[in-house]
Amino acid sequence: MKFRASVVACALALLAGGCRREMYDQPRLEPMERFEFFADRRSLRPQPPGTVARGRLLEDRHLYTGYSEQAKQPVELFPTSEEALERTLARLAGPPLAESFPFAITRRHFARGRERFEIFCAPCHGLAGYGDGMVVRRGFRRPPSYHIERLRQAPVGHFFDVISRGIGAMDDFADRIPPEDRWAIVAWLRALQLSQWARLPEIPAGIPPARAPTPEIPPVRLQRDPPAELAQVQAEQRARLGSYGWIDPEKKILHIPVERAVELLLEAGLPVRASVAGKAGER
Amino acid sequence: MPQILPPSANLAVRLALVGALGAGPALLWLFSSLGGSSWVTRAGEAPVQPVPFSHKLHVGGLGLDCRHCHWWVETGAVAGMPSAKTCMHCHAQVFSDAAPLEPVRSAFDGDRSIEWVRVADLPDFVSFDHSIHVRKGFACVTCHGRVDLMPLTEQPVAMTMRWCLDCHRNPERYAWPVEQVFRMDWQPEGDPVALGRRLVREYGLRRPTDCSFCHR
Repeated sequence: MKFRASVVACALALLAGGCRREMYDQPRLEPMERFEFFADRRSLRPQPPGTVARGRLLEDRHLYTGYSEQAKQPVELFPTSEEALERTLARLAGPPLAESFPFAITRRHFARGRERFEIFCAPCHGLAGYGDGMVVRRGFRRPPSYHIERLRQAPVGHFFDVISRGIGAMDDFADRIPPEDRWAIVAWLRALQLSQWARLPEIPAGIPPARAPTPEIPPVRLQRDPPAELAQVQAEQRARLGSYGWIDPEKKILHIPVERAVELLLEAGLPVRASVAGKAGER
Repeated sequence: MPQILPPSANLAVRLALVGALGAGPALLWLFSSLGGSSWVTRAGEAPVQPVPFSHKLHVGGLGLDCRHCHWWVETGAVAGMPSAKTCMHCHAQVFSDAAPLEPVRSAFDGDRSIEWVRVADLPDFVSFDHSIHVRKGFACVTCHGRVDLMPLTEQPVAMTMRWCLDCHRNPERYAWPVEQVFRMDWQPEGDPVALGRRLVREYGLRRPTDCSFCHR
């Protein structure tokens, strides 16, 4: 009897041995695991208010906020247009936006900016920046195109500020895009803007004479084949970014391949703040 | 003296012999295959989530990059989950009153986190770091499958040690060019074997199979 019982016990122990999960789920917290100890059940703790994490003092105002150190823009006391009025009100409301980058922009930054732009911005703004991304095509409020006069004239700090703090329907991306990457995105925006509004000393041969249409979006409708539609939209946007065409034949304004725009910007150099401008090359 | 056992006992003895010989291997087979079976690992099963989030819609239809939401993946050990704020960026406007999104709204309003159920769960005794894998050319789809085709998210392959080791022993079979690792549908042009060998050389890929490499 005893023998039988021990055989059964051994068999059960062997069977149960395979079921133990303690090593799989150890009594420690994985990142983002639920933790009942705190009222909000988060194991990742938010930073206590009024504290500064090591290395995150963010003293460099230009680099971390997009606002310049001192006022440079004159305020129009008697604005003659609505846009001028807006500009003036903005200037009066806050510190001046930076007109320059906090570090010299190199090829590396354009590549990085393009990559980050296509991850975070293109879903709404579109790959070419006409505000015709897929999310907008599914009903989100359409953002302005980057290729309007107001945004071509806007200082680089404006774009940095919008990424950092949001504007209108756009939320901020400060948690997801570190400041250096935000500046790289701003550099890429400048390349996009130039690629869609370029005056060239020589007009390349073989440009179709017709004016390139401004990309529009169709009204929201039921989709038959979303992946195919996505592929088509992206192909159209990439085609726009990769070709020559007339934006305004009278004023001799072209859209040019964005790679060419990057080269032109690298030749001309994007503005850099005075304290860095002297030092050449990489940061 | 009469016969104690009937003739049919021969059969019983034979069966018992075969059973005794076969039971051991059968049990071994059962236990060894059970551990890797989808019944235990739940591979290919989509767990019930607080919100029936569709990667098929967001990735396959809208073209969101993996990093739009899982933005720790390039620098951190874990890929990270988006905050409720990230969801609400769009869903404050699009499907802003849809019933399935109620947990998102209440998490956002109450400053809580959406309590997603982990789909790809490695045992705690394995140390895994996403950032080194994506930096060295191992694509999201290599482990997580074509999420852009998944209406509900599942882990398509069981993440067993054998499965990890297959790649750790033969990285040339799985490495992609690093600039493609976040693509869903990338296919190598030309000979995949030659490309794999080139990438192994180029990225200096090792074949880490020491126990302590992953079990720290």
